[in-house]
Amino acid sequence: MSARAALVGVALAVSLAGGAVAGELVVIVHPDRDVSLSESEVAQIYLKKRSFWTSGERIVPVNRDSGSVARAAFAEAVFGNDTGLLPVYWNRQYFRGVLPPATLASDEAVMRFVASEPRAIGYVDSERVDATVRVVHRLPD
Amino acid sequence: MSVLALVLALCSGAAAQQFPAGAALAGDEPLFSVESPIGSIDYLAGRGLRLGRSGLTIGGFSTVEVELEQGEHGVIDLDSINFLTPWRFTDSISFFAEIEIGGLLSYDTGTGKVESDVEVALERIYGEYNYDDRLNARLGKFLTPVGIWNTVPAEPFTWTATNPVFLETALSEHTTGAALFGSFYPGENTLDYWLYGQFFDEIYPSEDPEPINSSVGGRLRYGAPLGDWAVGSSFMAAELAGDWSFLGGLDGYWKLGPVELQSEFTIVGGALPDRNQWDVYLQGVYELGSLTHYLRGLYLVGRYEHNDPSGSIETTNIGDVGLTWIPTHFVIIKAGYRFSDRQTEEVRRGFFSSISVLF
Repeated sequence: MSARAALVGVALAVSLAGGAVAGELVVIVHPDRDVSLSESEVAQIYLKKRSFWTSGERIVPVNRDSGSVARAAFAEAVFGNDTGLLPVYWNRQYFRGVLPPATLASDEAVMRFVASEPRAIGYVDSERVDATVRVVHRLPD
Repeated sequence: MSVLALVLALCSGAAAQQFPAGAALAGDEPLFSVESPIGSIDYLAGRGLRLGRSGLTIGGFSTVEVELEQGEHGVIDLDSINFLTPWRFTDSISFFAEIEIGGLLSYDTGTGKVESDVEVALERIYGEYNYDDRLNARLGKFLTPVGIWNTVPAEPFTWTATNPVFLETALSEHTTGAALFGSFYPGENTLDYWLYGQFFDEIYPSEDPEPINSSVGGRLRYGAPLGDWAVGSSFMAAELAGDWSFLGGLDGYWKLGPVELQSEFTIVGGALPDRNQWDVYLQGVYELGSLTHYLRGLYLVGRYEHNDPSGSIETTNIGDVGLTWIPTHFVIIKAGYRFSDRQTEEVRRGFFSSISVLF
């Protein structure tokens, strides 16, 4: 095996294991949900400051696991570098009985969940998107 | 079991320090999961035990306080264990209760005595109907929505081991009645409102100030979409045996990078003289972790408060300085010194510290 082929193999393995973001991150919802969202609306949903779709159904946001590259990229894009007080924010929300969004371990899991749950919202690498979900926001690189 | 959970949680906290910069350390991943007939039962460090599809979460917090009050013996208190039980039945209907088991253990370093006076109290209990973001209704016992501090007054969630004085003299911490509340989103910003009233005798009332019979109040808060800044105003009329007391308040919050500022102004007047006063405080927090990653989770805190009761009682100026360390999201360690120009029952001077664990 050539060195180049070995390098490609390692890169692929790292990508699959760590969930590296190859393209841009996009925010996705169920295909039946006809909405578009601004960046601040996405942030409010993920902070649970906004809990309902305009149709009246409760929003079910899902995060990627906190060790993932996608999660770090999402947090940086949506909350900027100003994430130092987020643990304090979620502690206070916990006191109010509000829990942070659940997590899923891969883009595939997010895609499957959002495609099957009309109330859901998630984010994935744009290269993973297919017709089973609708893109409602593209996050800056 | 709880000790094992704590040890496992602390281990997971150490792992949390390895997260990439920018990741939200929210404690949103299960430490362990068990499959059951009601779905997956997950324990999340500092975020409780989620009982599958039941919608019920059982969690809470506990605090140990170490106090060296000026002129008094040092005291070490296992202050309380509080259980939090949010329970979502449907998208629209939920229930919440906070049960406090207090007075567990107190050790006087001067006399060597250990005392225990266990009390169980229902701190909060209410049901909610959530129509949408704009309209929600709450019925039960809840924290009186006045200002900023009183909406999250518990030890692990504040920056200092001491509270502003007006909280203990100007208003009832809880309301037992009903509330309407919600949020609107004018432009990119958020407008929150509260309308509430007390029309039941308070469940497990606090001793100070004297429990009221009824009240009516409201609160408006306008701020940035992510909460980087907000201004608020509060109003409350409270009645005891036919006498009325009126409270007005203004508050502000501002966060820019590592700096957080918070201030509240409260004025109370009327026929309940024990409550009459005006009070203002300004609190600043600086995230020392912004200077170097070696100080990650460490915050420098300072607060100045001026309290002016009506009548012959003198005014009091109070200063608090201290450090808060959050090594991982479910462990909060605080140490600070309080000084003032007068020492009263409400204003105790000295060194105050606490260690809180969320579970």
